[in-house]
Order: sequence, then C-alpha cells, then structure tokens
Amino acid sequence: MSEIKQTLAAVQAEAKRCLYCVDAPCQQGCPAGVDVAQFIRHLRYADVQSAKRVIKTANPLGGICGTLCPSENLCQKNCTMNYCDAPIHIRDLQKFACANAAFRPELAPANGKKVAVVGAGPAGLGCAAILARLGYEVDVFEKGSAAAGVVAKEIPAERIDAAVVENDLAELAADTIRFHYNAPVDAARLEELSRTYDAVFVGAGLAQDRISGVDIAEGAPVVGCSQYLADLKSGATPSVSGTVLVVGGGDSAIDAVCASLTAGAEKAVLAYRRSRAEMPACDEEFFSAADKGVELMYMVSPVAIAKTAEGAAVTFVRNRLVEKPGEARKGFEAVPGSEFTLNVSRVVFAIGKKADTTLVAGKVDPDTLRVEGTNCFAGGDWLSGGATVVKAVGEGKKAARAIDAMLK
Amino acid sequence: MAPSLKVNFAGVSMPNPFMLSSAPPTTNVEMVARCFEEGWGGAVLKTLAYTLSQARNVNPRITAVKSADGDIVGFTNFELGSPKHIEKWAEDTRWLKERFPEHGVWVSLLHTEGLVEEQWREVTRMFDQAGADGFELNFSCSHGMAESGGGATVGGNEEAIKMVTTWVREETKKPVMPKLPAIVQDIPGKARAAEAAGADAIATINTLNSLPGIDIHTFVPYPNVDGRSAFQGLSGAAIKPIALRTVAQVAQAVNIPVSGIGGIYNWHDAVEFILAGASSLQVCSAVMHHGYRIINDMTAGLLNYMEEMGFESISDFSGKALPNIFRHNDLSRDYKLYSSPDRDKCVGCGRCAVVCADSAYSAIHMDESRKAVVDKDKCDGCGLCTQVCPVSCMTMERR
Repeated sequence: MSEIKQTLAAVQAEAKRCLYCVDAPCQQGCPAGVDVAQFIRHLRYADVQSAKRVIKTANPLGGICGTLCPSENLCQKNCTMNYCDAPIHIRDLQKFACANAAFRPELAPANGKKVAVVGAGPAGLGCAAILARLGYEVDVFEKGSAAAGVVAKEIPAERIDAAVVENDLAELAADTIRFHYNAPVDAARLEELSRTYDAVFVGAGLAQDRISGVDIAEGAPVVGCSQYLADLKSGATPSVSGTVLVVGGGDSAIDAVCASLTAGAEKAVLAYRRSRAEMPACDEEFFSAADKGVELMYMVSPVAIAKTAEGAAVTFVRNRLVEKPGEARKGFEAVPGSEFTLNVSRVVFAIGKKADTTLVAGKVDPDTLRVEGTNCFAGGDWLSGGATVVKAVGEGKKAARAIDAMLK
Repeated sequence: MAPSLKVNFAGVSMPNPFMLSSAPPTTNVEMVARCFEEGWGGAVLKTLAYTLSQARNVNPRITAVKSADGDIVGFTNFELGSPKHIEKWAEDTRWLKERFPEHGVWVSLLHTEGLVEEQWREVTRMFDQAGADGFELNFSCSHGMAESGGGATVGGNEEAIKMVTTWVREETKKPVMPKLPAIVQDIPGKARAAEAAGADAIATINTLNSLPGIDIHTFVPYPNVDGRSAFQGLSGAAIKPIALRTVAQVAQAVNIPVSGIGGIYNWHDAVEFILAGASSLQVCSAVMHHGYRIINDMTAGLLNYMEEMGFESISDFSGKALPNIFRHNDLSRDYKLYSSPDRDKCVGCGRCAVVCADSAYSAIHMDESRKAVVDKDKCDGCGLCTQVCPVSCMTMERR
C-alpha cells in the first residue's frame, strides 16, 4: 500500500473516493473515536483547517497517529471501500490535515480543580489534553526529560518526524497543562499526589523490557528492545556492526531490525517463533522491513545465548505450528533435535515489556479505568501491556471523561 | 453488411459524422488539415469576422468549469469571430478543399456589427467560389456576438432567422445550416422558421450564456481580464442534457437533417445524439480537453455499437429515440415500482438510506448486518436510491 502523496490535489482525489457511509465504520475502528467521515469530507472540499479540527478534537495526538497508526488494522480495516476496490488511505489523509493546518483547542473556563497525570506518554497526554479543555488544571509528572513517551524516546526518527511530535505537543493546551520533567513517581509519591490533587491518572507506560525463556551467558551482548531503540535514538549507541538478531514479531521488533540496518549493521535478522500469519506486526511495517533487506527466520526460538569474541552464539530450536483447541491463532512446539547456532554481534529482545506493578494497588474498572476505591485512574500501555499510540490516547480520554464525571 | 460511418449530411459526403465545431479547435486550416489526417470527418471553420476590429480577443478568455470535486465538466469562453482576414480564409478554404476533397469543410457566418445584408451576401459569394462545402449560420453565439446584435440575438427571433437565412440562400446552391441556440422560447418555431427560409440542415446547440465562477477573494468573476470580467459561453459535458433535449426538439419539428452539438465526449454520447435525431455530430470541448486524438475512440466505439445493434449506417438509427419522447401528461400513472436491494451486492454504506430519509420517503434502513432493507409500503418508487448506490445494487421492481 503506497502512501498518498502529501499534496492537496492527491488528498482531495483520495477523499473523493469516500462513500460517506451512514454508520461510519471507520470511526468505530478508531480507538480515539475520530469522526473520520467528517474530516475526509472537509478535505474533499479543501477545508484542511476543519479537517484538522475534527481530528485533533477527538485525538490530541492526531499528527503522531497520522504517521504511526497501523490503520490497516483499525479505521481502514472497517472501510466499506474494502468491498468495492481498496480502502480509503485514511491515515495518510489525517497526516496531511495535521501537517497543513493549525489547531487551537477550545478551553472551558477554569473550574478550580486539579488533576495529576503520571507519565507524559500518549495515554497521559490524551488524558491531560481532554481535562485541560474541560477546565482542569493539570500537572504532568514525567520521569524522563521529554514528552510523548515511546514515540519520542524509542520509535526511530525515520518513522516519525520530530516536527510532527512537536506540533502535537504544542497544540495540546499548553497554558493549563504544566509539565514536570525528571519527576519519577513511586507508590509513596502517588499516594501523596492522590491526597493533594482531586484526581490522578497513571499512564506510566512499561518500564522494563522482557528478556526471558532463554539461557543467557554472563556478559553476552543481550539488550531489550526499548532500551536498544532508545539508545540508538539518543545516540548512546552511536552505531552497530555485524549481524544484529532481533527476537520477536511485533511492530517494535520491526523497528529494531530496521533501525539496526540504519545504524550500520551488515545484517539484521528477525527471528520469530511462529509463522508470518501469526505475526502481530502490521503488513505495512513488515513489508517495509522486507524491502530494506531484513532477513526473516520463522518458527524458531532461541534457547541459549553464549558469549563469543565477536558477540554471541545463539542456539535456536525449530518449531512447528500446532492447532490449539478453541483458538484461531496457532500455537507452536519445539521440534526435538532441530537445534542450530547463529553467530551474531548482539541480540535484541522484542518480546514485550513489563509494567511496574508496585505503582498501583487495586483493581482497575475496565469501563471507567478507575482504580477501585481511590481517586486514581490508570490506562495506556501500563494497563494494556503494550498496544498502539491511538489506543493509549483513547484510554487517556476515557479516563479523563470518568474523572470529569467523578469530580462534577 | 459491415457497418459504415460514411455519411452524406445535407448533401456533403464525409468519411464519418464527426466534425469539429466552429470554435478554438478550428482556429486555422493547418489545424483542420491535421484533424482530418487524424480521422475527423469534417469541420466548421471558426466564425468569420467581417471587420477584424470587431473581433479583437481578450486575455485570458477560456475557463475550465469544474465539479465540486474538481473534475472538468465544461469550459467557458468569450472568443469572438476569427481575427483573420476573410480573404485569407477564402484562400485557405480553397487550399483545404484541394487537399481534402473527401472531407466536409463548412464555413461559419458571420461576426458583424449589426446585420448588414450586403456583407452576408458578399461573404457567401466569396466562400461559395472558394469551394466551401456548406454554410453554417451562427445564430447562436451566446456571449460577445449576441451582445452586439448577432449570434443568439438572431436565433431568438424567427423573423431575423428567416431574413438572414434567405440572404445566404439566395447567394449559394450549397447547403445552408443555421446554428440555433438552446435557450430561447419555442425552439420548434425557430427551427421551422429556418426550414421555411430554405435551410438544408440545422445545427444545434451553441454555448450557453454563463458565469463560470467568481474568485471569492477578489470578487472578480473568471476569467479576470485586468480586473473585469463578462458573461461567457458554457460548453462541454455540463450542457449535454440541454443539447440532447434541443436536438430532439429540433429533429421533431423539421424534415431537414440535424447536426448535434453540445458536450459530446465519447462514442456513447455520440450514439445518444444520433438517437435524438442528429445525423452529424460536432465536437469542441472534448478536443479542448484531450486533443484531436479522441476521434479514434469515438469512431471505434460507434462502429462496435452499430455492429452490436445490426445498424449498417448512421441513418439506420438516427432519431430512433424520438418516438419514445412524450408530453409528461401522457406518461402512465399505473406503472408502479418499488426499489429492491441485492443483498449480495450491497456493501453497507447506507447512502440509499440517507437519501431516502433526507430527500424521499424514509423507506430504507440498514439491518444489523449492514445491508439495505426497503419498506415496500413506504417506497414511492422515485428511484433516487438506485442512482446514488456506489455498486448499483438497487433495482426498481414492478409492484
């Protein structure tokens, strides 16, 4: 699927294909609830400003999502044009609208209430933006030194333009949202925030890479995907060499193999334990990685990683797929005696991340995202275990509405 | 027998019925020669101007008219008669006829200030001698010429039509073809007036007087001629339904052949004009949009259609639609329909449900599986839903 050229004429031609469905299934496919049909119609008639207003009113990180959304699995998956020829390239239209008009949110008069938001990632920003528009004063506490979470820290610069991130941040509602950087929040601090603010939203993200299931020799060059991407992006790891092995099959794994090639790896190998059909990475990212020359290994699992002079020797076992009763997605099992070894310069684990579970004690109500019996709410990757930017924004919004309902 | 596109139109033989109309595509004979080489059957040269000082053009003078989605649906222009001496045109006409004896070369008369009988007679004699195959009389220019008493001003007045047609008729034995406008009272009366004055054919329509648009920031309509604009003639696909209606009206009113003009873009349009009563066709806007080369798809498509339908010549089907056109009062009120969706084809967009709710009888809803459902009792058979469905899944069924 090639990107729609970012010119008004090309965007209008694409917008013209929209059927303007009565039930807007695209909007139902958007975790942030963007009124897709309406913004497409604004674009069709060259009203880019109104298109942007529609997008950003629903999704304060509409610009970022206009670049990063795996829309083939969201709005575009639901597009009725799938049944005619091809879906509308909704994400590309959103990208154009967000890059070519200004947005200023309408703010309700200050209501005198204060909310603390823990984490300046997509969930926290989504929550803060909606609360600010409703008249709340918002303090955002971010342990790092920049906003936008994984988008700013980890997602490679070649996939997300820094100017797009800056634009979304600038259009949040800056006057009534105060950012506090290098301000980590632990359980004790959270308890304090809960007392001093009318409500608290925890969108803390996922702090730790998961590295497990493998026998790893002391000193072997093994790194978690988040750490690896963050180090590449910040320059802490200026370059890589040799063969970089990435274990995993999600969009972060794809980012890691692509970023490895950009950073100088001679070869980047993606090893996934099942087949392409079970792989969670979206087609668009997958094909872009394949185009860049990434090598793919399916149905293999690393079992042991030894340290070598050049890096690591990774012993794999081959898997075969097995039907799992009652589940659509196939499982796998190791094929006995199928072990083989690959020599690499480093191993990147992209098999998920862990949340800091000590932060919030108590059950989270899935409808309101409220931590039962408290004035705390939680959402985003911290809650979901890792998903998309747009889903995190959607949860931040959901929590904002629940907070507003509680405090009204 | 294999179908043939050859026509004898009002006594002028041509390899096919497609002619360039008197307009920018026939600005000079070198262009017309090239169009013949590319396959056009005939051409009407750009309207002659008796006095060149009257035919001074402005810049710019052509505007594309676009749909809300930016598709070109027509052009407006306010070009006047040809800014070339008529003596030169006579010489060029002779040159053209020598090179293309098999093609139809018509001249278009006449851009003058007021109706000066002697000028019309003189020019007719000059081009009769120069070898023109026929004379089109421009009684229909809707803009510049009409504003100075010619063009559509003549076409709207039966006495004027008769008078000028008679002047030309008396000076030549070659076919005379008044070109009539679409927006006048009593079109059949105008056509009959021309026939009564000795016309051999009628051409219709010409451009429609119009304002193509306005610059919403400077408030100057298009095109902006140094801060001013003026009304212009609209042509192209946008005027096709009006042209088709006018061709049918003229064809019903007279016994002489009709040259159909107005928004003919492809072979399908050509077939429709022939069915409405035309036996030759004139094209301008489609050429202004895509060039002479469109003749290839026009002739190929028309031939395929004739073969499919078993027609051997254009005259086999010219006017075939006319017996099916009645007064509205004569249409049946007992013919009752309702719309019926094909559930397998329906893609679930619900456009039918929206338009039925907002512009008709609220007879359509979408069911839980996103399929259109028509309430037969509420449906009044208007047919709007069938027209907006993107996959044509609605059909009208007989009650």
